[in-house]
Amino acid sequence: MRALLARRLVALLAVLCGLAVIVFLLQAVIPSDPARAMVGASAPASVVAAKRHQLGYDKPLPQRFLDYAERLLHGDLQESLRTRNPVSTDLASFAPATLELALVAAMLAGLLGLGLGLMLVAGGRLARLLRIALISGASVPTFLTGLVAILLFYSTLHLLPASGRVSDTLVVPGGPTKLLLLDSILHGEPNLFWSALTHIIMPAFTLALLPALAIARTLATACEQVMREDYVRTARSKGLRERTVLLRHALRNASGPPLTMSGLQFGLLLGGVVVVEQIFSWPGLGLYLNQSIAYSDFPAITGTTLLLGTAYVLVNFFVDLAQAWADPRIRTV
Amino acid sequence: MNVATGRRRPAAASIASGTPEALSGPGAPRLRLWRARAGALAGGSRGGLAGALIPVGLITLLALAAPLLATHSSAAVTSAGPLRAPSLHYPFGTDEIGRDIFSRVLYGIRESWLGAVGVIVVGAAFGGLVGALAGSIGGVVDTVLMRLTDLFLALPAPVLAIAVIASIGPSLLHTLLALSIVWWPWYARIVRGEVRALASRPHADAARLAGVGRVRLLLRHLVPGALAPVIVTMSLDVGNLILALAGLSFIGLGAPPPSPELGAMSAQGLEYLFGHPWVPIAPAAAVALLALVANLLGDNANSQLDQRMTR
Amino acid sequence: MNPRRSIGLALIAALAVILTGCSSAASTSSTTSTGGAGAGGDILRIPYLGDMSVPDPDIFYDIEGNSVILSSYEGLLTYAPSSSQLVGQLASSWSISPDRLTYTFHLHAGVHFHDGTPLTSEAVKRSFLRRLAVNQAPAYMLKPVASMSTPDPLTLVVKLKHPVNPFLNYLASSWGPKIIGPEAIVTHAGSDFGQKWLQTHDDGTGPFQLTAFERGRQYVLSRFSGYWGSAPFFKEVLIKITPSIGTQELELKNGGVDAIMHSFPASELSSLPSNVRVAQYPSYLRLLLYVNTNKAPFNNPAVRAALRSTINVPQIISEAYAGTGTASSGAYPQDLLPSQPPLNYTPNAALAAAGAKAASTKSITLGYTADESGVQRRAGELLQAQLQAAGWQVTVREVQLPQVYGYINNLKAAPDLLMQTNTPDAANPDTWARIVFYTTGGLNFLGYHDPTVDRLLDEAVSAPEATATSLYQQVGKDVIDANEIFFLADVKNVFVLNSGLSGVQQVPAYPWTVNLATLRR
Repeated sequence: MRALLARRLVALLAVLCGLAVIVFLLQAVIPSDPARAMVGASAPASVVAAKRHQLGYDKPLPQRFLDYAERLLHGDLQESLRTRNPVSTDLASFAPATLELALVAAMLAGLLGLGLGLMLVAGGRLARLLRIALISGASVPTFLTGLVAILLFYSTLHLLPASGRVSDTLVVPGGPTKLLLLDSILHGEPNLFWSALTHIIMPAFTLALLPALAIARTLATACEQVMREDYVRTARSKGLRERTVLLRHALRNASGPPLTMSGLQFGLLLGGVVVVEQIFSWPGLGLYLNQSIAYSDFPAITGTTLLLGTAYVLVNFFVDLAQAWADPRIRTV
Repeated sequence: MNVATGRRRPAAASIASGTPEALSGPGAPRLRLWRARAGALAGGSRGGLAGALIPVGLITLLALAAPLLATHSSAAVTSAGPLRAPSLHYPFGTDEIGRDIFSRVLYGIRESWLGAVGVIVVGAAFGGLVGALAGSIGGVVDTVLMRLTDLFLALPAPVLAIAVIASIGPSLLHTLLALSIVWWPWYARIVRGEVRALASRPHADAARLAGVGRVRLLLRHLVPGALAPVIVTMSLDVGNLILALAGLSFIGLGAPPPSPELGAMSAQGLEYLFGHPWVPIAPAAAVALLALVANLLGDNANSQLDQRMTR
Repeated sequence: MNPRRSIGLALIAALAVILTGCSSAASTSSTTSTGGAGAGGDILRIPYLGDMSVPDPDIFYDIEGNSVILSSYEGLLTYAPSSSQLVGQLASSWSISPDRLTYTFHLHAGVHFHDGTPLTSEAVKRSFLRRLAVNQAPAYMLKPVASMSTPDPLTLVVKLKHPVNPFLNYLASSWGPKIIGPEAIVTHAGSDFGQKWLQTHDDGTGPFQLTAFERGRQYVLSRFSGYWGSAPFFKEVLIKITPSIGTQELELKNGGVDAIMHSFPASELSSLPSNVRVAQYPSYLRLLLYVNTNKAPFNNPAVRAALRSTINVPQIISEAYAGTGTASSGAYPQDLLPSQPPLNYTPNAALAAAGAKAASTKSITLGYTADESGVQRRAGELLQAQLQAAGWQVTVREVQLPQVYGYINNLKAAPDLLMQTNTPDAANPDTWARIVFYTTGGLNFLGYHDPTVDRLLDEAVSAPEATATSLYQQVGKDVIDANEIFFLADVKNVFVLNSGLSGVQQVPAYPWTVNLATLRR
């Protein structure tokens, strides 16, 4: 196990370095001029040139990469062209909203995926209909899901709010976790909790739908495969009920692929965040990225990419470890 | 940008190794091999795969024939004027410029479908090449290529795609390029796994002993064996890719307007949702339809292969 | 009971319980959280499509965000409602010396900054110096200042290096020098003249105070109890960041926001529910078509003349703007210059076809900047259709504003035609001509360069009024004849408001906002 851990750590570092290199290369090919964007349109050419020199854009590419690497090691992601804050500050202020959304969506996806997957495996007439429903649901683009949700639950039923993270008249506490659902409990504010909950349900569900369906189908397939194994046949022949066989014996062994799938889906969740935050006006990294793209704010775009990429790599790292711990067979790989 | 279906990491046991054709000798006619492979996929007493192939075939025909079927060009401003409700002449109404939505949706289907297929073919070809080389040559080449593949696999595809397009500027070509860059690693992994498994089988040894060259070995014996899982993955992927394309163009990173890209049309049409709902709904429904058809095919192919395996 | 069925039923039951729990919670929680009709009272809610750059008046140079600046800060002068007439704001009166070099301003007594300190001429002088020190985009307005003196606490004397005709207009401009208080400039000066502190705070004299600035979420303006003028009706203004105009529309209709200040899709104006009304006012926003003369085919004046004969402006206006815009009548925004030379864009099919032939081997690119209401996209595509009908080959492309600013560095790679909506900095012809026609103008995107125009404008900025007017008219005529910039539409300020709102007061020179202090419910 320890050898596996060491190998995985080395791989993790290599991947993070690769990510940094790729992001740097992207910076090098952008067509617009960031220096001009910073000093403003009417600035004379000499001012623009001075800014370019100050930002280091006139140095040769390898030198720029070394500067970039050094900055990264110090946590310096340069300054946003739009907000004029250090990008790291911006990311720190927008990340908690996305983290909370992603966590809730991940939990929803896991629970929903588990439930739907089990229903699929359980078979019967329900299963075939369910299978078609799942495939249909998995074909709906996220923006359509979000739009239909807003139209239904906000515009028609007036049940849930359409935008924001919390009611606009409520004051958001500054800490300690910056996750509103937790902070409201810690501060003992039930109004805030309910407001945060009603605001997060629709975006989280919209985000969780496609991953949930993918997890459900992977779980169902894996379970079906496992149920055909010999030891399951033995369990059945011992007279155990189907449900016990499923839950106690098969599920544990079938958990590998769905777990892997969950890790993968997290990455796609991060991509879905960009669309969902736009539709629901959720003040997170997706919104920040959208605004940065519209502004051609490349320091912000690359900083956000680095952060999201690192988060994804770390999540999969831990998923891999969890799988290895759960299934000893994998440890030798 | 969501994966609609399961994308499994190939397990240690090769998927296709259960098929009896693996024992065909070195001189076996290629035709028998191909037919057997096709049979493995098209088999199934319930004709389930055929059932999924028909809609796919229809959509592909639709996509290819869009310029013939469309009543107007995708950019032509009709005489009906903007935001007209659906009617006989304009089955999906007209959009905010006055263009026929039906024609634009057809062109959009064409762009999305052929674009998705293009990305997948390119991704599978490139990834397959990398995987085949890694699997057959082995050694240092294998290690280097697989580390590179792992790097790309370890990074989140949608985030990278966004970063690439934001850097080089949105256009249909750039978007498809960015998606190809993040899509190929899967195929490399799959093909490499299959090739390595097959290369250690008796028939491959026999071929080598008989003096078959490495390239021929690769092409005639190893690669065909890897085809089945690749084709399954490709068919599963079409749906994912269509949704990915739609999602990217929704946030403005797809083909820029006035290109008839379905996601962009949905996004731009959103503001007309109340007075003129057909403007965003028609393209959004088209995306869902394309993804549904692709997913049905992929799901069927998947279960066909599963059934083959467990027989 | 069948075990499979029981699992399914259990899950469905759980889901039902959760949903009913949610709905009952939602209905018992405060109505403001779901934006029901009860939302409102003395809180005003306005959506923004995106974050403003910073609420620092010496840096801010965009349009969306000026409701924050104009509510929390005041300048020496302002414009009377619905006009371009200069009136005093913090200055109760002013006088100009006969040589037009010395301006003497008398300040209102009893004015306080949000930090509590009184307004003095020293504070105004310090605020002006800060703008020059920070030296960002709007600093040019104070560059002609040679010196300032404060003979008494309520008098400020400003001496200019040379006469500047638009100087008072600069002081009234939406982006003009606003008077910033000592808490920002002195107490929190730090090493950057208080820029860091002003990223999230304000210290103005205006009727509202910026009490919260949460990027991506919302900005909160609270009524300032020590305001020297009449108190606003609204206790609080919540500016909510809502990036999708579709969501903004939904919230307006359901009472979640009270007013949409800009980018409302023109075609939806005719299908508004009864609780929402439209208020349209003139503005100085104009749709321009820039022509790239640095490469073929438009480096040929005859081809440009043919282009002029192809454009059918009334058709673009009626279809893209649906009544929210009118065809331009001159090179300058209306009312800013008397007796403007006329535009005369008359379509002529023969000339158009000839031009298309001359350019036939080239496919030209028409770029337009993205905007949420889609109106520039529509105008661009309508123009494309017109050009193609005449035989031109045109591809239309959406471009981002930061890229547009970069075209000047590589004009050969820039589009052949560019559509963009601009507004002058203030209600004076110089503030339009200088940024659009002058060679180094900030909005001169495709490098229009006419040394005569530059010379005339340099003369006009200091010339006596009558001379200046005729100089601007001459410049207008030169620009129109050159066929390098076409003036398509004068765009209105369109506000879509909750019907319960009244007291709408706006100024054409302050686009996309109304006076939040006079608004009431």
